[in-house]
Amino acid sequence: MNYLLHLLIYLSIYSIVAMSLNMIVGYCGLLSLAQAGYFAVGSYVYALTTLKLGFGFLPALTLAVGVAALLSLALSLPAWRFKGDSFVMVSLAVQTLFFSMFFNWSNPGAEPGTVTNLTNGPFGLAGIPKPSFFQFKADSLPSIAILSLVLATLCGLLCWRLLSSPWGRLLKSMRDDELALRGLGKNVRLAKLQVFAIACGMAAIAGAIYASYVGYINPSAASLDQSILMLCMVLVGGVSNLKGPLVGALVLLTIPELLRFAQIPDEFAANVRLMLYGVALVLMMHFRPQGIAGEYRIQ
Amino acid sequence: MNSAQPQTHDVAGPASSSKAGRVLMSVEGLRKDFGGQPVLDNIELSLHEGEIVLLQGVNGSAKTTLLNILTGNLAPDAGTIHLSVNGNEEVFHFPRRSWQDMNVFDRFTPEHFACKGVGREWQDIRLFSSQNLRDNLAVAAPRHVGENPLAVLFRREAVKENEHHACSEASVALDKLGLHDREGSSADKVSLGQAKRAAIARAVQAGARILFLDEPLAGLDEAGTEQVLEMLKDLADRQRLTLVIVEHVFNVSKILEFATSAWTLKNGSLSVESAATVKMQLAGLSIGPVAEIQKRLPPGAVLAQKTSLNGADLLIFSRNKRTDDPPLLEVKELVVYRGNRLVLGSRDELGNIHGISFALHRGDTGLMLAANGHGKTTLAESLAGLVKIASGQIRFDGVPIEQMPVWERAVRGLLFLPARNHTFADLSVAESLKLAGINDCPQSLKLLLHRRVSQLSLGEKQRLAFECALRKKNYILGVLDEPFSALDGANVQALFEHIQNAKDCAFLICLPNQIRQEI
Repeated sequence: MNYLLHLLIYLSIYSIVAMSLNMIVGYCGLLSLAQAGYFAVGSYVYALTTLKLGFGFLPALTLAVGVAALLSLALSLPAWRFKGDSFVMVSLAVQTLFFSMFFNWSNPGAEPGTVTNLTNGPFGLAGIPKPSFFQFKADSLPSIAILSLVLATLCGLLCWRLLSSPWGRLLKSMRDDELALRGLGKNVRLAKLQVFAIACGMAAIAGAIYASYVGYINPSAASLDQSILMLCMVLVGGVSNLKGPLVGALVLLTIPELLRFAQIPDEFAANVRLMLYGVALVLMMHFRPQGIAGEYRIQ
Repeated sequence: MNSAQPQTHDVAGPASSSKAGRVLMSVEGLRKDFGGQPVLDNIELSLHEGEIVLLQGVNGSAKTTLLNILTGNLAPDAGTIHLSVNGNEEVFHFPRRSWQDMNVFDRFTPEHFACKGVGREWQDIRLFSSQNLRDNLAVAAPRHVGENPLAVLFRREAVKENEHHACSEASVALDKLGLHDREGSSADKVSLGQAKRAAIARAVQAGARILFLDEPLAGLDEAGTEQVLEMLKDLADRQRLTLVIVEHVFNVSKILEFATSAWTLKNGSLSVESAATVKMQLAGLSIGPVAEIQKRLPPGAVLAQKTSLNGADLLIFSRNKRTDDPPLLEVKELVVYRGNRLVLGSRDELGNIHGISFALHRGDTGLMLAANGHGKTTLAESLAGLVKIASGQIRFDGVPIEQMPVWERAVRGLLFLPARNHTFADLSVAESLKLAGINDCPQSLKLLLHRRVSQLSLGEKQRLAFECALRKKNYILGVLDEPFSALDGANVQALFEHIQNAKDCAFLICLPNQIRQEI
């Protein structure tokens, strides 16, 4: 049962990330490799504010979202000008920047969480408290599962509300033909600022839940592998609707779990998982380029 | 003032309006260079309310460049633009300061011009392909509250009301165009004529008072041309919109029927004449492709055959006497689907499918005239091997080629010139010619040799495409899909010369049926 609850928590976390990335990939047509960076920003801000400033779950979560939304300018400002492959490179640069920051902002002699050793480098931050707010204390697996599921549902509702609105239509139009949309008097720069702020803020929510559940965070949360995994979820599941990223998260989280039953030695399991991602992507691009449940084909 | 930041001050009120309407936009000393070559030099113009302008010029005369500048898409190198569509005058001075490109509040942008009532219809239409026609129009509604995510979450009633209003206006606009039954159709599934009308309506929906139209009639069939012309006349007469219409040689006369003035771009200069003067100058000139072909075929060439293929007309002009020689191209019972849609072939009452059949001999020039969406491009692509055929036979020079790969058909001498995507955007003109194996560069392309293809106008690209395709004469059958698109008179003539000189070859030319009246 605990195993299933653990899976449910992970599924909720990655569903939020996939839905957030879908806003950028599916609705703006921009491939971003920096989503894990914003996920980690959420984790670190949550960890630092709860550990060092004694914030509760909700203030820490709010701050994490705010910081990620602010840092989303690192992507949204270049997105004014860069598209296609150039934007992928920009997002890769942002991703590397985040990873380097989390990895290198350390000083072995100083206490973790201080200005000189903010992230504690590769050793990360441990002892992150479990979520607790009002009368609710998520200190057991079922309670964290419920909390993560509720947050994922809220994020899903937020996405549904926003993306089915005229704002969602504006984003789709921007993806289809930005210049034509500008010719209709629409402020596409503002739309990009908004969509990146919302998407990165949502990734930070996922990061905060992750940090509070695992109780530990290190720079690997911001690794390129993580970003690629998140992007794969969106591409395999399909973009430009709500169910695509959910299906993608489910499929790509299920594969490694199923592999556990295949009795593959641990030393190969990671590589086999990567191979399977690769094969899944190749098959997907060939037979169903719009993803399992997607509506739009990324060019 | 050495910047593109606008100065704002009130213009004279209606009392000072001239008979032609007040000036909405004026330009002084406009200059634009590309690679050190001036394409627009000291342009002076003014645009009055209600004016309908035909903008004409040969290929590469910078018609689209001028449109791009006047709609805020491209900054000129020098000059001043005065814009006063809604009563307040804004002045943009050029050249701009270097930091102006970085200025996030820069107002020389297409979105600012659009907000000020300057609309644009693109040559390649640019509807939002993943959305239906109603959404394409509804998205253009200005100042929509629902485009603010915070309002979507916290001002639901206002958003709902705004959206209802935008959708109703879109539906009314589509209804007026006779597209009521297509409002739920995806923008990439409607015919060319419907898409062009929807694109014009979208610009009007966005609040355009000046509308710049780049070849609105290009590629349209007879019905589509009529519908778009009707719409433009209605916009001019009833809504008093100011129109600036770029058109190429075959459609100039249709625009002149209701234009009030004509701007002609030549060697970087702009001359303004009355529409009547230009009409008189054009009178007597043969401008239809069918007439051109007939005129240019060698003496003795006759209309050998006129057949109907699924409602399309196939006219075959033959230069040689019919002999018992096998045809160069023989198509028998050809059936082609696009997805589930039967495009080439017809279904009878019993459900049996009948393919299309025709033959071309050496020296023949076949003109296939059909409405948009009829399957001209599908036929051309089927012959070239780019589209899989469902059934039927294609024999080329006596050899069945249905199963033959594209490259082998080309090696055997089957040339296909597509209507679009026929050039390589990242190559220079010189590289493109070299790639096509052409050493003797045509005179008209010599000045463009070092330009990248992506920087050429559509007419120049079309010229490059047909020179690359036809000049080397390593073909015996040319399949040309809408080859006259965007070409000026001189380039049309150059294309016909290629056809005329290739005496032992056959050509199949696919054209929209708007020139049916010539037959």
